[in-house]
Order: sequence, then structure tokens, then C-alpha cells
Amino acid sequence: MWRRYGDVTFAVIFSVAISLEAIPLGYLTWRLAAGIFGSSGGARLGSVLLGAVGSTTAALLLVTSYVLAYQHVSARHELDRAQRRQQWVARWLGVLSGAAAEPAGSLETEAVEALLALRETLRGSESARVAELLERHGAVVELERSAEHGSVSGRLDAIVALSNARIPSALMTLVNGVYDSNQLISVASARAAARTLARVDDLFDRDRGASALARAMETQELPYGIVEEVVVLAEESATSLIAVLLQHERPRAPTVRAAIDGIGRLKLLIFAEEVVPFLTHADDEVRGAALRAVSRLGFLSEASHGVVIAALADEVDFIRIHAATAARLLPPTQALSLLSDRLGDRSWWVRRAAADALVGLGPAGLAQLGRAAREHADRFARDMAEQALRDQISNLVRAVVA
Amino acid sequence: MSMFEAVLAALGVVTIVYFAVLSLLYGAFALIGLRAVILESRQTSDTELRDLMERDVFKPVSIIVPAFNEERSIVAAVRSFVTLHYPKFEVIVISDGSTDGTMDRLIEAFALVEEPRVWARTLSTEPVTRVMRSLRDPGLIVAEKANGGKADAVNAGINLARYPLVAPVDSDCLLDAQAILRATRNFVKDDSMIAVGGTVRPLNGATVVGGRATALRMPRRWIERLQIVEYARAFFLGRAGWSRMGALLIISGAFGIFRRDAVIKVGGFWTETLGEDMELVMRLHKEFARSGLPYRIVFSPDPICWTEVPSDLPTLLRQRSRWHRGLLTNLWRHRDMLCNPRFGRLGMFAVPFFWLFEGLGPVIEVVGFTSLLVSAALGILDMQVFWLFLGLAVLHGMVLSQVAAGVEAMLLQRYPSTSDRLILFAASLVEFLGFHQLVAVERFLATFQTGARRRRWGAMTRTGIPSEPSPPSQVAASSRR
Amino acid sequence: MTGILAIEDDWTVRTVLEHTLKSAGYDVDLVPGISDARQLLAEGRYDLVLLDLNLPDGNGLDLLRDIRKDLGTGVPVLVLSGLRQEEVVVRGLELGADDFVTKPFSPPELLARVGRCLGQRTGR
Repeated sequence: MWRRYGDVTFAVIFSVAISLEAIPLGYLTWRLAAGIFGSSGGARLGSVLLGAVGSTTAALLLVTSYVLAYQHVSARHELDRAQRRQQWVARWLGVLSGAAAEPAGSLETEAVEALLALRETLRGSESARVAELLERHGAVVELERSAEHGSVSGRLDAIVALSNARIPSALMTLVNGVYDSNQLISVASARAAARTLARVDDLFDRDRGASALARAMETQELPYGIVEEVVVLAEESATSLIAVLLQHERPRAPTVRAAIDGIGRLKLLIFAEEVVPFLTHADDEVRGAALRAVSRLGFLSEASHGVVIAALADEVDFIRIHAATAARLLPPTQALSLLSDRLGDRSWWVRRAAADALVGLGPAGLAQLGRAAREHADRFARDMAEQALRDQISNLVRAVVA
Repeated sequence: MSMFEAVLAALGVVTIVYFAVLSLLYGAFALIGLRAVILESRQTSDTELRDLMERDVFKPVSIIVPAFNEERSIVAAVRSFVTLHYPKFEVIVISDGSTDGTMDRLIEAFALVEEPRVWARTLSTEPVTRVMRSLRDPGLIVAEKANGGKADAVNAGINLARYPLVAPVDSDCLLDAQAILRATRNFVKDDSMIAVGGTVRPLNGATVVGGRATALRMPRRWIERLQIVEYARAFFLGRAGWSRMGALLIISGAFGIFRRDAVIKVGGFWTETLGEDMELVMRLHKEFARSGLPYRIVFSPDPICWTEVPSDLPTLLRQRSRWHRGLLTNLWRHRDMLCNPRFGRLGMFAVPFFWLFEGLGPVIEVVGFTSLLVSAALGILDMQVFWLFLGLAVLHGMVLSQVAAGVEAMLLQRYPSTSDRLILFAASLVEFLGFHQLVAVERFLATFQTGARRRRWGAMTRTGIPSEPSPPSQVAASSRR
Repeated sequence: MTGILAIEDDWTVRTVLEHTLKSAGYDVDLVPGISDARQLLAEGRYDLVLLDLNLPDGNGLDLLRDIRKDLGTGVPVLVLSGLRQEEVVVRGLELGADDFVTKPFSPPELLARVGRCLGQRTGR
């Protein structure tokens, strides 16, 4: 964790210090390299060196005094601010419970920070009232302005603040931020927009916001991990967002993958049917994600049985792994025999996934594992079955010991 | 002018130019590094980290702890790892044929039971003799294997690892509570990320509670204080700068996180070097650049790992000698990267820089200064010029150290008082008035011992991670081999 | 007066807890970490423990286990945490937590749960 102030000044001071050093050094190098000092240049070399020593000393003093001053000032400043913030939190709690009067006019920084912290801490009607306070005192407009203009670090700070505030009226400002050419701003804005979208209750606004955000992420080609995070952060609004992402004319593979993963993670059964076509998608990662989503949803339509069975024999290892996990949703007898086959897969990880899936099938699966441990034709399959059974025992032992 | 004098004069000029160019480059890196640190400090907010923890958007990690004869500190270290805040991780301790009570201590402390186990032997290693599992901590696995060195032990750990990310961590390190979270964040943000290195800071002098470094205090010995400045400079300025230029060559063996499939793809850690951490990073660069796959290897200044640094000179010099021999072995093994345009900035700039200023640096430094001193003594060079040059070198080093100390002051967890700052200032003076030169001579000598056989665990006289509540003066030294 | 020990490191949450619980007439001790909590639990008697899981000096679940084992075994423990993964909740309940409140929380809901935990105990 870092202090986020005084660092830019420090960089400027250091640039000055570096220049103080560089100029005489550069001169020295050039003269020496050009052989200009020659044999009689001892005295001149000495005077250039003396100059270099002098300017470097100045640089050293400059940097050191800044560091000392920074240490001293920051320690006091932070203590002071923390106290003021805490006082404001207490005061706002008073305002919320009706025990204290609301302050008038615009607010000092610590008062806004206290409100932002409360917005994160509280839920329900108290949280809504904190949002009202933020808006009423002009803090949101102020933050939106700082999010759009100024230095990169100032903008990032404002975007993070808005991401804590989650005020629906700021959503479009944040979506616009996703289009920023600076990757840091773009990603931070996407996250903040997602968090805000989660608090948009009006269904029409929610859909509109979701499609604007989806468009922005597609245009900027944000990476898979970020899109996935955005989907999860959107909480209740994830449904709208996923719908838009999947409806996109030609969605990028990372986006589809993130959307499908979101369906699984958030257990959005409403999309169970939408996942099906992706079980046969050309992109391996997308297919894997679809199988994973099926497992997480715990729902596999009869029409897709064949696809999962085919995936169990896929060439790509991780597809077979996800297929093994999803196979527990097949009709029991079929699942038992197919998973038992997979225990003899050439990849250790598939064998492990098959064994875990069998464990997940309960008594019948355990019995199948027992049989495999004794009778499976493949030695590695027998080993894996035995290992999985042993793991079950150690889990039991651990539950007793703990 | 005799031939001898002409050679001396030429050497003097080369030395001064070498020094000036190096200083300018270091200054430039420091500026780039500082900028990287500033941006990094802003991009990961508290809210973001909390979201990661709470909403299931994270990648599970296997922490791999190689250990050789660590009976004194192993239990405290492992306890600090199993209690990390991270939603899904496992800790795999590999005892590399320890001959002391390492295994006994672990068995006792964590209620280990032996477990026949099957796993994928993807990387070949010395045989693993037993695998044990803890009845108390579900995420802890301890394996014992025949001695094969640190790299071999980590490879065995990678074989046992279940999760997509692996984090080799030295057993004498403590991780910050958020270190894993912060480091793995980079893998979530960028699909092409294959390795992330963090900052290493000296633990000496800190108060340790519950396996975490809580309060920082200046250690008492100057040799420890010097290393605080040294580490800050190396990580906050050096590695941050290289990383920003996309040419990071080292991720510290003390703490780094790698994508398991990437490490396996290039064949795991190489067991024949003393610098297996750097060698792996070089090989990752090489193989991924060759295959044309998009990839990134970065340094991130905030995941912080605390390590106990040597507190006496002989141990420190041995350590530096080992590092230097490792560096040279690695550079030589990957000599085809030198000035090879196929590797971009890495081949054309980073690798040549490491050859010239890191690998051969001590040789040039020792020969250069000696020749300047001889020239001055013989009257070829003005004595005043010699002193001025020495002064300039010292001042330059101090400026960089102070900048690094300034970055350290921006960390929330910093040395707390203004007097600590003054000590760090004094330490940076002392460093360049003797200490630096001593290390340079040690590395100079190491340069000529690089052929020797390796596969050894570095001897380290250590005081052990203090157990809580920690009397800071717990100095019963134990030494490994 | 009913005594509550709240273990929480975030200063905003602390202030909210203090404000909410005190205005409801409880006596509250606030500590930022596990080691302080252990000390207070060893010394004094509390009617309820409010426990955050993500603490700077360790995992709250470990403290919970110890509370159930040696430190005032019967005291109701209400876990207050931002971690909402099923595993964490299940593990907490397994270890003997009486109830679970996820952050962000609503003060009236918290008070209701605190009241219920206390009521259950006196009813026992």
C-alpha cells in the first residue's frame, strides 16, 4: 500500500536532480571520448570533475531534504486526516440517525471520504441515504469532473472514488472513461461502471447502461479477465450485461468466454439454453468455458448429452477435464461408465477430474471408484481411483480431528 | 610516455567514461522505475482487492516452499504461509533431503500423516520418497525427496502443484498478507502474463506477529542497514525500470509467481546454476519469444516479501559471490541472446547491459580503480582528479539510494521516524565508502571461480524468523552446511 | 449491561459498530486484531463476540476455533465478513459461529441478529 500524494512532486525533484548530474557527466563523457582533454588536460579534467561533484552534491541535498520533509510532513498530515475522517464518519452517522444536523454547502475532502467509506460499509436504506447526501452536496459532480480531466493519477483517484460511490447518475461518465486511450483509466472506468451498474434499479436504465458498457468494452477490446470481472461486479445487472455481450453481432472469443463464465459463476439458470451452442464453438477456451458453465449451473439438456460425451474424447486436455466434470450431469449409468473410462485417460489431470466427478456422484460413484481401483485395466486408472478414495478418507479424518 | 603509462592513462579514461555512462543509464532507469511505481501505486485500489477476494475472481495458487535443513525456522515460516489471506491456495513444502529435524518439526507442528499419492511427474527430479498431508491444515502438503538442490526441489513442488499458478517462496521469507492477492491480480488483468515478481525487503529488525511483519525498526548493525538501502534501490528503481521497458531479466527466487503451464513448457528450473531464478526468467523470455506467443513478465512493486538478510560480513560476501557466479553462468548459457535482434529490447539492450555492467562490472571496476590509483600514485594522473572522481562516484550512488529511500517513504509500511531516514542517509554514504568496493572485489574474485560445480544450497548463517512475541535479540546462530 | 467484543480492523466499520451498538445500549469493546482479542477474551467476560474474518494478524476463523476450544467456549459468536463464498460461510458455521452477517451490512439488521444471538443464549 502506498501513499498517493507527493510522489509526482518527488518525481519532478528527482528529474531536476538527474539533470544536475547528467549535464556535467555528459560533458565529461563527450570530452573524454573525443580525446579533447589530451595529455595536458589534467587541470581541465579536474575542473569539469569539480563541477560534476558540485552539481551532484546539490542533487543529493535536494533529494534528501525532500525525503526528510516528506517523512515528517506526511506522518503528521495523515494522523490529522484520519482523525478528521473518523470524526466525519461519526457525524454522518448522527445525521443518518437524525441526531445531528446536516452540514450546509460543499464539503471538505475528509467529509466526502467519510461518506464514500460509509457507502461501502452500509447496506439498504442507510446506504441509499448516503448516496443522496453525496449527490446533494455536489460531491458526485465534482468527482465526475476530476475523473474526466487532469493528471492520470488524479483521474484514477476520482474513478476509484466513484466506484465506491456507485451513483447511477455517474454511470455514463464512467462508460465514457472506458474509451480512454490510457489502459489504466480504461480498465478502472470499466470496473467502476460495473459496480455502479449493479446499483441501477430501473430496468430500462439498466439495459441501456449495460449495452453502453458492453459496446465500450468491445471497442476497447478489454482482455478476458477484465470482462469477466466486470460481469461479476455487475451483480444483479449481470443478466442485462451478459445478454448484450452474447447478442453482439460478432463477439470476440474472450468476451464470449467471460460472459459464459459469468453465467456459471453467478448461476444464472435463465441462460442455460444460451450456453448450449457454445459447447461446440470453434475456440477451445470458449468451449471449455461453456462446459464449465454447464457444470456450475448443474443443468444439461438431453439434446446436449452427445456434445458432452464427444467432449470427453476431445484432443485438448482441458476440454476433457471440463467435460469430465460436466459428465456427472449425464444419466447415472452412462456417467459412471464414461467417467470410469476417463480414469484411464493419458493426462493425469483428466484422470483426477474424472475421479473427482465420480466422488461427486455419491455412493454409486464411490462404488464405481472402488471397482476401478481393483479391476480397471489401466494401472494409472487404478492408482487414481485408489488415491481419490483415500482423499475421501483423509477428509473424514480431518473433519473428526478438527 | 612509456607504454605502461599510456596503458594506464587509457584505462583511466575508459573507467571514467564507463562510470559516466553507467551513471546516466542508472539515472534514466531510476526515473522510469519511479514513474512505474507511481502509476502502480494508483492502479490497485483497496476496493479492487476486496472485490477480488469476495467475488471469486481470482486464480488459485500453489505456494512452493523448498527447504534444506531449516529446523529452526521452518515451522514459523510454514505457519505464516498457511494463514495467508487468499481464497484458494495450497502450500507445498519440499524438504530436499534435509538431514536435521526439519521433517520432524513439521510432522509434529502440523500433524502430518504419510499418504500414498499419485501425481503427474511432468518435470524430472530426484525421487520423492514420501508425501505427507496435514490433518490440521487441509491446504498443506509436505514432500520429502532425495537431495538435488533448490531448483530440483522447486521442480518437485511444481509436479505436485494442483493449481494453475505456482509461487516458489524461500522458507526464510514472510509474505505480506495481501502479497499473493496483489501479485495474482496481474494474471487476472492480462491473459498473456506468465510471471510476476514482487519486491523483497529485509526483515531484520522488524517485529513479527502471527507470521506477519507488523512494525518496522532499524536493525542495529550497519551491515543490515546498508542492505535496506541496497534492496530498495534494486527493486524500486532497477527492476521497476526494467519491467517498464519490457525487459525484466530477474524475478527474485525469494518470491515470484509463475503460470505453471509456462514453467512446465520450458522445462522447469535448471538445476545446474546458482541463479536458478534468473535463469528461468531468461529461458521463459527466450522460449516465448521464439514461439511468437504473446507473453509478459513483469515486476510489481507492491506484493512484498520480507526476507532475513545476512547480518555478518562473511555470510554476506559468500551470498554475493554465489549470486555473481549464478549471474555469469546464466549469461553464458544464454549467450545467444546477446545482441540478438530477434529478442528485441531484451537482446539488444537488457542482455548487453547485464553483460557489460553486471557480469563484467566488478572486473572493470576493480581494474579501473586500481589503475586510476596507480596512475595517481605515479603522478600520471593528478591526485586531485582521483579524489574528485571517487567523490563523484560516491555522491552519485548516494543520490540513487536517497531516491530509493524516498520511494520507501511512500509505502504505508515504512521506517517510521525521521531519525530512521537519517540513518538510511548515513547508510547510503557508508555503502559507497567501502562496502560497495568490498562487494565488488568479492564479485571480481567470483568471476574467476564460476566453473566450479554447483547444485548446492547456499550456506547462510541465520538467526531464524523470530517467533512471537519476538525478542529482537534472538541471535543463536544456526548454519546450514 | 450487555458486553460485546467487536474484532474489526477497518476504521469505518469500527465507527459504525460503535455508534450502532452503543446507541442500542450495549457496552462495546473494539479491538483491531486477533492478538488483542485473545488478551481481552482471556481477561474478561463478554456476552457476544462480533468477529471479522480478514484481519491483519491472521484469519478470524482460527480465533473462532480457539474460542470454541478454550476461550469462553459458550459465548455466541457473530461473524461479520465481506467474504461471501459458500465455503467460508460453511466453514464458519461448522466451527461454531452462531450467525453470519455479510458486509456491507444494514445496522438494523445487525442489531436484530445481535439480539437474536443474545436471546438464544439466555434461552438455553
